[in-house]
Amino acid sequence: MRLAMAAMALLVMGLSFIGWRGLDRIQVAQLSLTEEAVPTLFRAQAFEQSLLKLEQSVGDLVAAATWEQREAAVGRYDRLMRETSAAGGGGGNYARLFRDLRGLHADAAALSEDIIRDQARFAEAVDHALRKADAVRAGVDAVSFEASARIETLLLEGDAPDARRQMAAVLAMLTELSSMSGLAERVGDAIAAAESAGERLRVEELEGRLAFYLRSLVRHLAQLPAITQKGAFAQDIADLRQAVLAEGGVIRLRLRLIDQTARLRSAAAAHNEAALEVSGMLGADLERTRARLLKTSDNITLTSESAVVAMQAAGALSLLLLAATAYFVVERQIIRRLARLSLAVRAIAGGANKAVVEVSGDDELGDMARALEIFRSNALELERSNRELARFAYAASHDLRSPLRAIRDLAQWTIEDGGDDLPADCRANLDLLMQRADRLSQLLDGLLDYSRVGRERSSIARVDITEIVGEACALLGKCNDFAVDYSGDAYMVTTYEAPLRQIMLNLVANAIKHHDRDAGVLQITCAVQQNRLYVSLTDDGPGIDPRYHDRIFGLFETLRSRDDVEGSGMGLAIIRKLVEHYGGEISVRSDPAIGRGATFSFDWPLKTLANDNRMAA
Amino acid sequence: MNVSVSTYEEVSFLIVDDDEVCIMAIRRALRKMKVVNPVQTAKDGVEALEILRGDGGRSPLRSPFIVLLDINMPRMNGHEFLEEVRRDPRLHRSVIFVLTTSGAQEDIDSAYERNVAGYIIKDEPYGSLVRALELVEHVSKIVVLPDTAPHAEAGPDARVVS
Repeated sequence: MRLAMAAMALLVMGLSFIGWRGLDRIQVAQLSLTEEAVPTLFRAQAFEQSLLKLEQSVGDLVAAATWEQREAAVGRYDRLMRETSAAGGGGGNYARLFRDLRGLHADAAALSEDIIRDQARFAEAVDHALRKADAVRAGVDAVSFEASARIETLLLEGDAPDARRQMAAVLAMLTELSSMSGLAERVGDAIAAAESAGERLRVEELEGRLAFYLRSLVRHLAQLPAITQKGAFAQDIADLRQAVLAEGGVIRLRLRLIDQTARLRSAAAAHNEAALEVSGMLGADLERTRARLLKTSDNITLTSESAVVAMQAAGALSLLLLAATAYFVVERQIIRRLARLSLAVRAIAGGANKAVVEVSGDDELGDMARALEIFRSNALELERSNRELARFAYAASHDLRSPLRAIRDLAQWTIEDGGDDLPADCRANLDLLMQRADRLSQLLDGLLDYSRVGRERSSIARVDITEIVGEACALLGKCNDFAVDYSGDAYMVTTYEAPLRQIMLNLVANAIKHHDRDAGVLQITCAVQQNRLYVSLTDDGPGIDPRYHDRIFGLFETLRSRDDVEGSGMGLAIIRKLVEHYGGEISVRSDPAIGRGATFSFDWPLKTLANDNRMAA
Repeated sequence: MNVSVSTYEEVSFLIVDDDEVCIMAIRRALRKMKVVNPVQTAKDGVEALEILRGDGGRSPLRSPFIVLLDINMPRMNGHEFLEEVRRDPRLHRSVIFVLTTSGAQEDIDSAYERNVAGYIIKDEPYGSLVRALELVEHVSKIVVLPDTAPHAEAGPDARVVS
């Protein structure tokens, strides 16, 4: 059975180990989660945001119209890029992609620079062109004004034939001039339109119109008579043409701006596409990480479940083991046997000496059982021998009494029947005969008492010691002659009543009987210590020679001849047997050489009522 | 039929004891008390039954009588005697006092099982014997003693002692 328990214990250990290992693995997986997957998630999120911001910043760049705005946009982009790179590298892939992004941004930034520069130049060109156009118009208008003034003058000259011809010439010039003014104005408008034209087609259309206007201007100029301003006009118109149509002119610049803006926009689009690609990669990474997370968490769940199961099994098995141990070892091996042993012990203590001790085994309980068996057979033997003794004592006292009585009676009757006829020495002989018969009877009584000591179980009761002492004196009828001096508390003690009475009675009787005077004092002291009663009785008699202190407790021992003091000599023997039977000791202190008196001391057990009455019953 | 007191018949005592000195003591005590009732003695149960039944040529002891019975006797002790007497259809009504030294409870119980009139213990003081005999004498004077049944009547009066 011990083997089975060892095997079970090993099994429990094995299961516990499995469970522990499982938990360990869970811990590792958890670690991988927290150290890898989760940071990746966070990084991904941060990247996503950064990308958005980068796109935004590129948009700002596209929208930038001034150097400051451009600087701000570029600066923001650079800062964001630095932050993103610093935030986490992201591995080789990401580094490359971000480099690409940076490249694309650089392109856009360069384009933006050009655009802004060109825009300044364009604004200048427009300004210049418009001034030129204005100059033309202003010149034309000035000449018109002069011409108008001339007409008026001519009108005032009346019908001079020259005047009409001059007026017609002037009118014709005015018409040309007016057309030229109108054209100049239209050129101005067209320039203004070109300034805000956003599409290439529109600008080309404007270019066409401007060319037409300028050709018209030249045509009209040609129609002008030879005036002094004509040269200036031609120059101005040529300048205007230059300012508008030539390389570096409004149209050209405007077209270039449009191209460049388109290129900027596509650079920004390329950037954002690349950013999208990065985002896509991020997404894929996230997906992978999420899948790993799920797998890991599934792993965790599985492992934890199996670990839990293993632990539960280990726990259940442990409990089973414990229960089995408790049952088998404790219950079967120990408790039951102990219970049976206890039952047997109690039965035997209670007197049932025939009770069988049903316990065996190689261990301590078995040893106890075997020892108990020996006690039991001893107790049985003791009981038997006690019974024998009782029977013997009873038979002896009974069967010896009859002839003894007969002897005494016959002697008595002889004396009575003889009367005065009986000779004196016959009478004396018969007296002695009767005395001896009486003595024999007393000895028999003493012997019977002695044999009976300790055989009867005495009951336990609460007794008053002073009362016992008083009773002893009263029984002997000598209370008047012998004073009893009692010291010690008036003890109510719980103990075996009858034997204590007998002892006190015998001691007092002894003291009185062996006193050499008719009156005396008996001092009795009692003390209780550690559940034992200590009694001593001191008389003021002649005392006992220390030589005889042992002998006086022997059977049939007397110190004076029986002719002086009639006594069975059994008193002290009976007292000692009683005292020793109840676990005490009796001793005597006396020395006639030093002084009178003798002190007998003994100790006696005290009991509590409950338990011991049960045992003694 | 009422027995009138004037037809007083003398009560005999039958003393059953194996101790000769004991019997002598009883006789002396009775003499001292001036009791003149006829006294017969038997040394064991067998002899006592012979006296009661009148075996061996003599006539049975005439009632009324009182038996003083010892317990420990050879041949047939007190208990066996009681057993026999209570079974005897003629004798079973006899008034018997146990007078013995034994104070054993079994003896007492056994005697009363067989309906003794009383169980008296002789202890040491001589005086107790005298008082016991005084009691028996008073019984003989005061108590109406039963007759021995003349015929063997197996009627409702017959007592079967187990």
